[in-house]
Amino acid sequence: MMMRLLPLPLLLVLTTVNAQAAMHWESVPHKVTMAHIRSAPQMFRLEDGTGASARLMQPDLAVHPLPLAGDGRVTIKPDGKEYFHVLIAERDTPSGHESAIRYFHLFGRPTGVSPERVTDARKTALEIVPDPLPREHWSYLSNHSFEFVLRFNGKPLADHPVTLTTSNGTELTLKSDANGRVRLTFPDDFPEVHPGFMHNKPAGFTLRLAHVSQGKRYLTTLAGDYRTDPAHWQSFYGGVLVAGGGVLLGGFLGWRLRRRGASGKGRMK
Amino acid sequence: MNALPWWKNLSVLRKIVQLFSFVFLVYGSGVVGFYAADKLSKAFPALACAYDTKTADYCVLIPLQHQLGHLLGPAIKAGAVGLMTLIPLLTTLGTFLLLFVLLNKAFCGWVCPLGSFQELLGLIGQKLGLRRRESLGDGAVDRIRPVKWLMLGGLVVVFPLLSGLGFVDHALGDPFCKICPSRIMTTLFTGHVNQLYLDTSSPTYMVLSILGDTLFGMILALGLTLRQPFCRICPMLAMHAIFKKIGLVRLVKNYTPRCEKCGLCAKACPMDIREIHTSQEKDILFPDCTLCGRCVEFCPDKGVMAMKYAVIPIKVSDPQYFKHRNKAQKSWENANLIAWLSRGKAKTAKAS
Ligand code: SF4
Ligand code: SF4
Repeated sequence: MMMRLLPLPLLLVLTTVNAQAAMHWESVPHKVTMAHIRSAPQMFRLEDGTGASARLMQPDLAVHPLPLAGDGRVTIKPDGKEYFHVLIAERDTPSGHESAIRYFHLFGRPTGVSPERVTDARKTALEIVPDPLPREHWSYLSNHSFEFVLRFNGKPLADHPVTLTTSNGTELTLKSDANGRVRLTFPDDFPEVHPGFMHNKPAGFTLRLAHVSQGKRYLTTLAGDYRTDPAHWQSFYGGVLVAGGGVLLGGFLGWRLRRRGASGKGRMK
Repeated sequence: MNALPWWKNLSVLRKIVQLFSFVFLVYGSGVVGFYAADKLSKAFPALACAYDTKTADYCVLIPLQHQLGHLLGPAIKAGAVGLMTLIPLLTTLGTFLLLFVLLNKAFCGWVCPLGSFQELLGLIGQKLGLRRRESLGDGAVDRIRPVKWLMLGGLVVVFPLLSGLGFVDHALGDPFCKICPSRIMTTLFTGHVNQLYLDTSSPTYMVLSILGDTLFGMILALGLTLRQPFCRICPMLAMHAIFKKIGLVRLVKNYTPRCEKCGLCAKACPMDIREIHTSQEKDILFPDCTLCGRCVEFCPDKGVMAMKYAVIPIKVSDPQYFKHRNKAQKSWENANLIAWLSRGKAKTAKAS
């Protein structure tokens, strides 16, 4: 299921600054058949994560340590708890502190805890909070706007830059507003577009946020996937035209019914 | 002067409930929460749409289609139908039934956003003074009635299951949602135009989007002059019909031979259920009923018709009420654009 929101004013600022490599989570693609979609494990890799420790936040806010394989891989099996799980990695650096976050969905039984509490929960000192995440089974889409809140020690970071890099090669810098809110329109940067949602592989994105406080340098990333805007194969004007045809057809049918029923029985005054 | 105060007029009360339900179901995410996990039941017995970003709940038809297509079908194919496959399906049906018992088919007549939208179209048509064909002929009604079962059986059960089994295109995994007018209507009401589209990604998607858009357009036009055009073929109406015996809201009749000469109840029925007039049974909750209660309102005979909550009467037919209600209805119907224009013309002619 997917959504396409109305185009909203772009807040994107093109930048020439290269986003430096930073610790972030990437998904490891693997084939899952429809029959096993609910029971299939999910695989991720922590990139540039030497020396980091990882943990998993479950939909009921329980947190468990997450052992990383040598190459930073983790495999998460469904734990019976439905909705959003969070991968969190942290490490201290000589100049400060780094963290990386990624949200993902698993099937299971509802826990009764709203996903809003999962995104709200403070996971690291410096954090990019999706507000909201795309609803369960929906996804981030190119050409569509989504909001994030930049937070340091639980407080919004106003007028602060955050950098987006995508696996399709886009780099953008955006700035938060007075409430620490950033509105990001995902770039429509897929090199090839095939008709149909399932025929386009998702691309990865990383949002990177740096902040200096009391001489300590904090760095955090939020990573995820985004997909191709379905407007590439779904035409709104085509839809309006067809619906217009439906109106004419309905009008004609209604007219015929009224003509037939003008003297017929059952007509209610 | 209308001798019937609005708070005693069942139709007015129903309109108020419909308005609140519409606002809550279409825009209620601010109250219940944005995420699927926050939604009221995720198996609602009326067409509150999952595609609406601001919805307060999802209709039961979407999890049903997805669980049949993504869970049961593939599990049957793999020969691995177990408890894990059946539990989500049973949870969906169980949740639906828990809610359904409370209001029975009144979810249609009092709560459904698409039902209310069609009534709004009817109201617009009536206020414009369009000549309305309120009731369909018996033949047309009989021909239309089985369509709702085909919609439920074919589009909600069989095609999703066949798609899960790999016999038909994946695009047919949730075919009812693809043609559902509530998807287009509710998203348009929230200011999103993304659900009105012509999909050119595959022939199946294209056909489904053409069917969905055409159906939506037809409802817009037909709704102005015909009562509840979509409800008559709605798969939810059929689903309600399966379980109508267990719902607490009931429609009952104490047949009298005077009924033979009357038939006002059947004329008042927006679903053209003529059997409420002819039936001599106590239980007159027919498969097409939406429990709107108009038949009880327009029955002129004391105590012949009643709407009950379990054993408690909510509305019982009454000659006094009928008299006032009928008068109120006439003056309501006379207040329309065409009548107003012709009155204006007549006045001008008289003056000159
Ligand atoms: S599209 Fe129709 S059937 Fe599907 S979720 Fe929306 S209201 Fe229900
Ligand atoms: S029959 Fe009408 S009122 Fe009932 S669910 Fe369908 S559209 Fe809604």
